Amino acid sequence: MIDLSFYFIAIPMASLALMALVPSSQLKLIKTIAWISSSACLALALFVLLKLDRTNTSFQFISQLSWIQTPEINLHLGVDGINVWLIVLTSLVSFAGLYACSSIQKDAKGFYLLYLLLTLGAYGTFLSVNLFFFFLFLEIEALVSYPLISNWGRGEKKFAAMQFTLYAILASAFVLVGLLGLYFLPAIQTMDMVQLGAHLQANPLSLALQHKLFAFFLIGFGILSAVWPFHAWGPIGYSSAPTAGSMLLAGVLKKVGAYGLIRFGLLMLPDAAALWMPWLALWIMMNLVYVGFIALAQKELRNLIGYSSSSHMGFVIIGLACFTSLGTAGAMLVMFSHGLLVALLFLIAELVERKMGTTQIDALGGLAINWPFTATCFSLAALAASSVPGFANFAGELVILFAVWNQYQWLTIGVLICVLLTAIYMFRAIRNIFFGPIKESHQNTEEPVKSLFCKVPFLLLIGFLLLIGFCPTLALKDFENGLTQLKIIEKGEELKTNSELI
Amino acid sequence: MTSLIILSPLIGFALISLFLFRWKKLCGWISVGSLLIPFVLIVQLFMQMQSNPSSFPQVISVPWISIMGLHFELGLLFDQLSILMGLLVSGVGSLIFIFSMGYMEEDKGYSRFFAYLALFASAMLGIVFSNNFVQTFIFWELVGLASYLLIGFWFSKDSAADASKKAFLVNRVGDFGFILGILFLWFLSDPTGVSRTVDFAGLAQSIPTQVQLGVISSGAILLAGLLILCGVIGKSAQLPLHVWLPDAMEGPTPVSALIHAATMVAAGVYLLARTFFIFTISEELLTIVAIIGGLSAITAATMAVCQSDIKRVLAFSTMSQLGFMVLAMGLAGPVSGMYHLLTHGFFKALLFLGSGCIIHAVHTQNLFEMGGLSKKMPITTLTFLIGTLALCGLFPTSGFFSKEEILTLAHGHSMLAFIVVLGTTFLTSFYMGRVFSLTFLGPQRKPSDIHESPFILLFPLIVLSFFSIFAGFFGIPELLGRAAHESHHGTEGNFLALISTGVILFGLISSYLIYGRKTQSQDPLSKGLGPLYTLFERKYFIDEIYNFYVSKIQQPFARLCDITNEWIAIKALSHWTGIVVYQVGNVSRKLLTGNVQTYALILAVQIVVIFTLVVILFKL
Repeated sequence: MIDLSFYFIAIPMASLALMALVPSSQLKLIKTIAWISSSACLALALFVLLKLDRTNTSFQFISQLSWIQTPEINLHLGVDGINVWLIVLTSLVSFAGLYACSSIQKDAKGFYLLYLLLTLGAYGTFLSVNLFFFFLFLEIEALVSYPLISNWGRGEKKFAAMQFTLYAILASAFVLVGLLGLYFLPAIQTMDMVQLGAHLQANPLSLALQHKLFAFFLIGFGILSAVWPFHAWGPIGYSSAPTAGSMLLAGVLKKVGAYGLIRFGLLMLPDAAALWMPWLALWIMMNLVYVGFIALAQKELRNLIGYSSSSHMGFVIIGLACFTSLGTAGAMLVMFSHGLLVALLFLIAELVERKMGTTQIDALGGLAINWPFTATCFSLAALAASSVPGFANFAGELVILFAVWNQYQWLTIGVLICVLLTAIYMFRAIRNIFFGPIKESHQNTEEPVKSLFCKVPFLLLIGFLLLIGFCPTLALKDFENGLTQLKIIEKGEELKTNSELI
Repeated sequence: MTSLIILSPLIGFALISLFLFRWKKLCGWISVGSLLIPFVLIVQLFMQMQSNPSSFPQVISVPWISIMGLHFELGLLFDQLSILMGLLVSGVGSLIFIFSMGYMEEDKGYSRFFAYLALFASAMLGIVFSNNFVQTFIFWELVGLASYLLIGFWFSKDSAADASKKAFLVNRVGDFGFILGILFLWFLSDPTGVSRTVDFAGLAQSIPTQVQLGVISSGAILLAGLLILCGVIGKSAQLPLHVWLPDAMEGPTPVSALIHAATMVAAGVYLLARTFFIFTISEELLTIVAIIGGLSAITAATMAVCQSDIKRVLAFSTMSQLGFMVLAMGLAGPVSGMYHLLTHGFFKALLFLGSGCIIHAVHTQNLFEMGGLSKKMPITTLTFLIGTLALCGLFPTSGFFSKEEILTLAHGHSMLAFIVVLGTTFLTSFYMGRVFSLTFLGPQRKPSDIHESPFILLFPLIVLSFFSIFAGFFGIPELLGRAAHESHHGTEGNFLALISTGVILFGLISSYLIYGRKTQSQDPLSKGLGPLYTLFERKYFIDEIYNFYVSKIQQPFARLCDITNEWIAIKALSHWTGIVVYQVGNVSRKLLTGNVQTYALILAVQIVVIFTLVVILFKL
C-alpha cells in the first residue's frame, strides 16, 4: 500500500540514485537535482498539510511495504496531527538550507548526496510508524552528520564531528534500549506504534518497568534535544558544521528528540511520565535560565545562535513537562516556529561570514545601511526569537506559559526570565551587527541577497512564522487532534485537578 | 466594519512595507488615510453613543486561540473610556501624521517612517479597544516594537540604536511582571479551574465576587495588582523604569510627540483605568499606585528643571504629568486621571510638534543656543505659548480643569499628596517658563537665517492649540461617565484654583526673571543649586545604577555561567570522552583503513553496550 507519505522517502531516494549516476563534474545538474527534490518535497508537504483530514485523528496517507514478517519489520509511514507540521518544517528548512549550500566548492557531489540523505533521515524519523524504521532513520541522521561536518565543516571540524557523532550514537543507544523494551516487555510483540499504543493504553506496563524505560527515553531524547548537560554537541556542532547542516541539525534534528519524547515517553509510558515530569520541569527551568545566561556571554554569532537554541529547547521540554495536552500542543508549536527561525538565523550567519569573513559580533556593525533586506530578515528572526507577538513563537510560548502556570504556578518565572534574557542578547546582536555607524573598512559591502530567487527561502520561512503567528489555531487544532488520538491526557490531569483542560 | 479600526492601519503598514515603499509621497498619504478611516469610524461611534447611550458598551470579537480550555479572543470593546481614548489616539495621531509629511520630507527613510507609524497606530488602537488581557498584552508588545523601530529610526547613529534597545528592554522588564500578573489573574478568576477567563468583563465580575466569598485573599489581589502595575510602570515611564523615556527622544520629533507624549506612554494609565476594578479592591494597592505616581511626578519635575535639551525637558515633563495621572488613579479618581490624560495628549503633542518646528528652524536642541525666535516665528511662538500655559494649568486652558481635579483629589486625601501636586505644579511652570524664555525671548544667540515653518507643519499646531484651550469646556468627565452633580467645583474648588494659579504665576515669573532678560550661555541655576543641580541634571544617577548592574553584575554572571559550562559540560563531560574515543579511533584507523570501518567499530561497541544494558534491564 503506497500513499503520499511514501514519496517523502521516495523522492530523496530517487534523487540520490540519480545524483550518484551523474559525474561530479556536472555540478549544475547535481544542484538542479537537489533543488527539484527539495521543492518537490516542499510541495508535497504543503499538499499533505492542506489535504489532511481534520476529522480523522489516526494516521493518514499510510504507506505500508512489508519486509520481514516476524518480527514485523515493515516500512510503515503515516501522517497525523502530531507530525504533520514537523514534516512541513523539515521540508521548509531543507529547502532553505540548499540556498546556503551554494558556496560549497569542494567535492560538491558528495555534499549534496549526504545532504539529501540527511533530509531523508529526518522525514523518515518523523513519518515512521514502525519502531525499527524509526530507529533506522534516526541512525541515518546521526551517522550522516559525521562526514558532513568533518569534510565540509569549518574550524575544529574533525573534533566537532566526532563529538557530535558520539553524542548522537550515545543517544540512539539509549533510545534503542527503550525501543527494545517497548517491543519485548508488553504482552503482545509488535513494532507497530499504533497497535503498541492501543495495547499499552489498555494494559499499561508495571510502574517499575515504565520507570526504567522512561529513563532511557528521557536520556536518549534529552541528548538529542541538547538538554543541559548533554548539550555540548550543539553549539560546537553548529559552529563547525556547514551552514546547511547547522540549519538541519538545529532546526530539525533537535526536534526529533522532543518528538520522540512525545511519541514514546508521553504516549506509551504515561504513568512513569507523570512522576518524572515535575522533576524534569525543575531541571529544565534551570536549563532555561542557565543556558540563557551562557548565551548572554557569547561573542560569536554562531555560538550565540547555538546557545540560544539550546536554551529555547527548554521551552519545548517544559511544555512537555506540564504533561497536559495544552502544554504539549504549545511545545509542538514552539518546535515548529523555533525550527524555522533558527534556520533563518544560521542562514544569515552564513551570509555574514561569506561577505564579511567573520562572525565575531564586535568586528561587525552598521551593516543595515548597506544590507537592508538581510538586516530586516535577521531582525524579524530575532524578534520572533524574543517572542514578539505576530510570530509563531509568541503564540507557542503564550500557550506554554498558561500550561506551565496551570501545572507549576511560580515556576513560570523561570520561563519568563529566559524570555527576558533572549530579548537582551537578541537585541544586542541586532544592535551590534546591523545598527550603529558602519566600520570604515565595511563601507563598500553589498547586499548579499539581491534577486527575487535568492529571497524565496527567506520569505518562505518568515511567511510561515507570521502565518502561524497570526493564526496559531491552524497548527494548534492539528496538535489537539493528534493528541486526542492517543489520549495521554488523563494522567496529566491527575497531577492537578484541571477539569477544564480535558 | 468596525474591525477596520485596527485593520486599516495594519493594512496600510503591510502595503507600504511590501509593495509601495518606492513611491514616497504615496506612502505618506496611504499612512495618513489609513489612520483617518479609524478616526471617522470612531467619531461615528461617538455620535451613536451620544444619541443612544443605552446600547453601549458593545463588544465584537473573534476567537484567536481556542484549544483545550484555553480561550483567547481578539475583540473590540466600545464604551465611553475606549471611544474617548480612541478619539484622542486617532485624532491627534492623524494630525501628527500630517505634520510628519512636512517634517520628514527630506529624509531618505520617508516610506519606512510612515510604515512604522501605521504599525504603531494599529497596535495602539488595538490596546485601546481591547476587551481582554491577552489582546492588550499582544498589542502592548507590538506598540513597544513600533516604538523600538521609531526610536531607532536613524539606526546608524549610536545614540539612537542604543536608545531604542534600551526602550525595548526596559519595557520588557515591566512586561515580565505584566504577563505574570495576567497569568495570576486568569488563575484567580476561577481557582477551581472550571471557567477561567482573561476578559475584562468576565474578570470585573468574577474577581470581586471571589473576594467577597473569601476564595481569594486580599494578599493575592495585592500581588496580582502589583504585577499588573509593573507593566504600567514600564510603559508609562514611572519610577524606577522611567530611564528609557528621556533617551527615546533620539527618535524623530513627531515620534516623540505621538508615542512618547500623547498616546503610547499614556497606555499604562489607560490600562489602570481599564482594570480599575482590581485596584479598588485593595486599599494598600491604591496607596502604592499613588506613591509611585506622586514620586515620579515630583522627581521628574526636578530633573526637567536642569536639562538643556528642549526635548528632554519635555520628556521629563511627560513623565511628571504621567505621574499626576497615576497619582489620580491611586487616589481613587480614575475619571480625573483619564481627564488629565486626554487634555495632556493635546497640549503635550502641541509642545512637541512646536519644538519640532523650532529644531527644524534652528538645527539644534540645546536651549542655550536658541533665543529670540518670537519675532521670526510668530505662529509657532503663539501656539507654543498656549501649550506652555496649558501644561502649567493656567485658567482657562484645558490643563487648568484637569489639573484642578487632581489637586482637589489630593487635597481631599492627604496633606502630603497636596504638597506634592502643588510642588510639581510650581516646578512645571518654572521649567516651562525657562524653556519659553530661553527659546523665544531675549536676543538670538546663534545667528542664522530662520523662517516660520510651512503651513503643513503649522496646521496641526493650530488645531491642537484650539483643543488645548477649549478641551476643558467639553465636559469630558461627564463623557467619561461621571454624573454631572459629582463635580468638585464648589467654594473649596475656587480656593484651590486660586492657590494653584498663584503658584503657577510665581513659577512663570521667577523663571522669566532668571532666564528671560539676559543672555545666558550657561544655566545660572547650576551655581545656585550647587551639587543638587548635578544630581538633577544627571537624573539622580539612576542610569548609572542600571549600567553598573548590567556591566558589573549581569555580564560577569553570564561569563561565570559560560565558564562553568565550559568546565562541566564541555571539558569534563565531552572533551575527555571525545579525546579518548578520538584516540581509539586513531588507533583503530591504523588497524582498519577508511571511515566505513570506523563506523563499524562504533556500531560494534554500541551493540555490545546495548546488549549489556538489555540484559541488565531484563534481569531487574
